[in-house]
Amino acid sequence: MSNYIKATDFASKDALPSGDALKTLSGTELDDEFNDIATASATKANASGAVLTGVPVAPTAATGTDTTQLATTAFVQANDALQANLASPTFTGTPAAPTAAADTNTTQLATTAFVTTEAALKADLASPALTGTPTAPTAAADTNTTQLATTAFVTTEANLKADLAGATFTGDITATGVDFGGPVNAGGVLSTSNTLDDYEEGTWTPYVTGSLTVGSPTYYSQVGHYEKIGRQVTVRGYIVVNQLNTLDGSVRILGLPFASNSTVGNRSVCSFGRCDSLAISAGESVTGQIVENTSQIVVYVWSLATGTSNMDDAELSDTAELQFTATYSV
Amino acid sequence: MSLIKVSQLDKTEIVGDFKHVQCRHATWVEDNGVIVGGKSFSRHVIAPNDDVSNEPLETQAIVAAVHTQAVKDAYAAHLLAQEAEV
Repeated sequence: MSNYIKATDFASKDALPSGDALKTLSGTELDDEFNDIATASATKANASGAVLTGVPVAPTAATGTDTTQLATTAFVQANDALQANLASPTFTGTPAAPTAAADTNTTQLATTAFVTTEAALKADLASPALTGTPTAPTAAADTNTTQLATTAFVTTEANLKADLAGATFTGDITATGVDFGGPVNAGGVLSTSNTLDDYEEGTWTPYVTGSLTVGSPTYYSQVGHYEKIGRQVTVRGYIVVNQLNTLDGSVRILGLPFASNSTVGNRSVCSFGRCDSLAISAGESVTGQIVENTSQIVVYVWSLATGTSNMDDAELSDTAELQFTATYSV
Repeated sequence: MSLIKVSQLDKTEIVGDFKHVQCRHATWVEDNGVIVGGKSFSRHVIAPNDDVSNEPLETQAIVAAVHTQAVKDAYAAHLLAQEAEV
């Protein structure tokens, strides 16, 4: 690019006297001037549709200028610093945007007004006050967690329970017993002495043995029944011996349904209501007891003259008949 | 209707200082697998030194495990002491 500078002072020629050679305007002078003009013109941009080359510069407009003034790169950078990025923009101040319609579910920006409207339709996480007919997934039967229980869950569970009034139980029924109150021990648990926790009735088969030789007696009849109420067992027995068959020693009645308790001295008596075909003397009677930690009735013969003695096998003859009852604790 | 009578050893208990083995047999009637009425029970106790040859094998195994010679001797002494009281 070059600027045109006039080389010939044409006006100074007017002051020269006639005949002066320099007063004449030569063709060379004119060519030089016009050539310089052509050269300068060729290196300038057109005012309209200019095609600039090199690195054009221009004055930088003030930040925020919004006219037809050319924008320099410095102007653009200064204005960019005031704009947010399209990707992951970081806004400052209080950005505002149009508020979407309620329940809008798009990528549109959510304003605080939109969120507040939507939040007003939701329940609080803490102590929510639900309205309408709230629903939730129904937990599996027997679930025991903090999961919400639906009416379906409760109904399912309730169907597995008995009614308080007029209950109809099914299957095997178990219970921890009936508590009749009473003193509370140091641990805060009701004393088992006040709890009735067992009842059972059934049969047992009484038989006699000898302390020296068990023998193999045969019988006409062996009948026994029992009732167990808590720790108390009541037995009734009826034996009619056919043959004693080598039974030897002191007579015992075995076959009790339960072993007696382990407490030393906690013994029970056995009452004989009917005895027959025994080889005992007049004035003698048959007694018995159940000692702790055993499962047998020890049979005695008592007389006023000699007191109590073990019944010997010789006193229990063939065809002997014993009918008795005893109550003992287990 | 198909009624059957069922009887089985339904409870075995080991109790007391001398390991008495309490056996309970339950008997009931089933109608096509459903128990009709209740169960009835029959019991007996196996003391140390008792003959268990007629007991079920599982009961014999239990008795063999708990009625050690020491237990048998102790129970025999217990009975002997009881007999000697009179």
